[in-house]
Amino acid sequence: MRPSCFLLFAAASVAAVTHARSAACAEPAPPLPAAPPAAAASEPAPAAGAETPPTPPGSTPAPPIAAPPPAWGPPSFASDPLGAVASAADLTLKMYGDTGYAIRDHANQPWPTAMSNPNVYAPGVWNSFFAPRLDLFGSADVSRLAFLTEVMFEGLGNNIGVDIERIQVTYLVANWLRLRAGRSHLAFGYYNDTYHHGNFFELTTSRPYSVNFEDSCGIIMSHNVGAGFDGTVDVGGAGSIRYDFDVGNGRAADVTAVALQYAETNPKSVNLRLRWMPIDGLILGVNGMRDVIPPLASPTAMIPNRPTTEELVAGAHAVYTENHVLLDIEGFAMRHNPDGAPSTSITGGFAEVGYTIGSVTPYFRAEYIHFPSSGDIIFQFTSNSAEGALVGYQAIYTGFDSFTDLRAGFKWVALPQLAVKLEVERLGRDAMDQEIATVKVAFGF
Amino acid sequence: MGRTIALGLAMSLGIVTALTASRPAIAAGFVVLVNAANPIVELSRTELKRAVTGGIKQWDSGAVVQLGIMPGDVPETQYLATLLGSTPRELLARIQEQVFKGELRRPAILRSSADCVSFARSVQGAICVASDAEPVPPEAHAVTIR
Repeated sequence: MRPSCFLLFAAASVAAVTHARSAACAEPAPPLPAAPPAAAASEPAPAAGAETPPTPPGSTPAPPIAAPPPAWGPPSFASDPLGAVASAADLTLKMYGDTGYAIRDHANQPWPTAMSNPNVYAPGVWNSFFAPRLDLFGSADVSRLAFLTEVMFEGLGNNIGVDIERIQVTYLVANWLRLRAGRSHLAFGYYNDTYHHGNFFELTTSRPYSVNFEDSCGIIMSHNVGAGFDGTVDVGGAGSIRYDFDVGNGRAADVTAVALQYAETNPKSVNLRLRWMPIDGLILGVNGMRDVIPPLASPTAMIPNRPTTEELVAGAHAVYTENHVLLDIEGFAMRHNPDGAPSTSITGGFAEVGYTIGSVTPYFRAEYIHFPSSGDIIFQFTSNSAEGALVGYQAIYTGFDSFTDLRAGFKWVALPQLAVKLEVERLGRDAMDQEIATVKVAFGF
Repeated sequence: MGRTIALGLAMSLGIVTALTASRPAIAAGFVVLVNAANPIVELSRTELKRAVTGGIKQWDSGAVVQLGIMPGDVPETQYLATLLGSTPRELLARIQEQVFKGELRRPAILRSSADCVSFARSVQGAICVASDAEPVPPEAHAVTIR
């Protein structure tokens, strides 16, 4: 099991909370901005000794004409060599990462793991520092083209793996049509393609399980390798409508991987999202998606192959992001139709709410996923299945009907480049539970 | 569990308070500038917000929207944030997030109102905020925010 599946971090630092609250209390209400003094150049004084033409009696003198300001341009090599190089290359490279400390109490809930040290997730109370992620984010704009890359160095066990999480090019035709291609986040719900691998932007210390990444036990397909288009259309006083359409390789036979180079089946995944934005900050959206998951051959005759499985997903989301509020409510229903086997359904959703006071945002999130009691052929694989034999562990959802995750915490944006998060979490699988406390520093520069 | 519920209720109360709170008045002294080739003469706050955060990607003139912004708590950014009902920090975080998401072009970093004027006269899709004390050349013009 990869460690990112667990997202188990912790630590309740009273001092840090106190500090965060003090900062919130000390934050004054933002004053109304005052205009800076008029620029001296607005009424340039005539140079000493300069001749001014005589003004005819009774006429109003013409206002002085200000000299036009210099044309705006990129940074100069003399004053800002690094900025000038970046500008010449038309590229900005930013880095995101996080580090922290976590305490996990899973005395009654052992987690399956394929880590090199199995004791890391053995039953009991464990604590650990962590610094497993570095995200290199590059972007550039050339006329109507925009390029974006996200290269992630992330912990795999106690080693580092490298993954190209996003590589996409977009071409803007008009507000109602933008074309895109590459590897991007599937336009499903709100969370999935609003937050990416830089944890700095998220309220919580980690993503909801249902929209986690493929290699982190996510349920909704996270990445799309393919093409798509989107656009926004104004509908007058009723606000605006946005649509997103994706077509891509779909899932790989190994559902913990992304079919980034070779599609393993000819039918392509299709996804459509429609959103209505009636007022500032309010988004109401629905999704529909279809994919065909390729069959997975078993390595031994003792374990049956997994058949081709059709995946159908419907989703809805309601989001509000104004007046210092972040409210995100999402739900989904997923149907798996395996060839020659009974169909199964998974339903779930989460609600996340935060309210920003100064630089501090207290938040709360509840997530629930319901699995079929008969077991889902894709996401409840055992170690004695084709997928389990391939990856070497059983899914964290195996053997349970209900999966819940409750978490509450604070995000303190201490600097525009740095956020401190304190969070407590209770993770439940049926009657078993696990408590986690995390302090995390997420940054971007 | 009880504490969790209490926290949820408290946050819900905060949301209701925020939704019903009136927006602050906007101080005079600043203008939103665009290029002279951009025929737009007025923008609603909703349209301004969408232009600043990537919701509107192209002006009616065909030029790609290019935001110019002054990072930090400078008066121009405070004014823009106040217009949009947020704080400068929230606004800058939102802009950063939208760039990261791929919905917004990287903003041009400006240092002063004079920079904004120069930016607006030089870039066809430009939009930025400047002090109204800055003389506006014919290659740019101010947009009324309604």
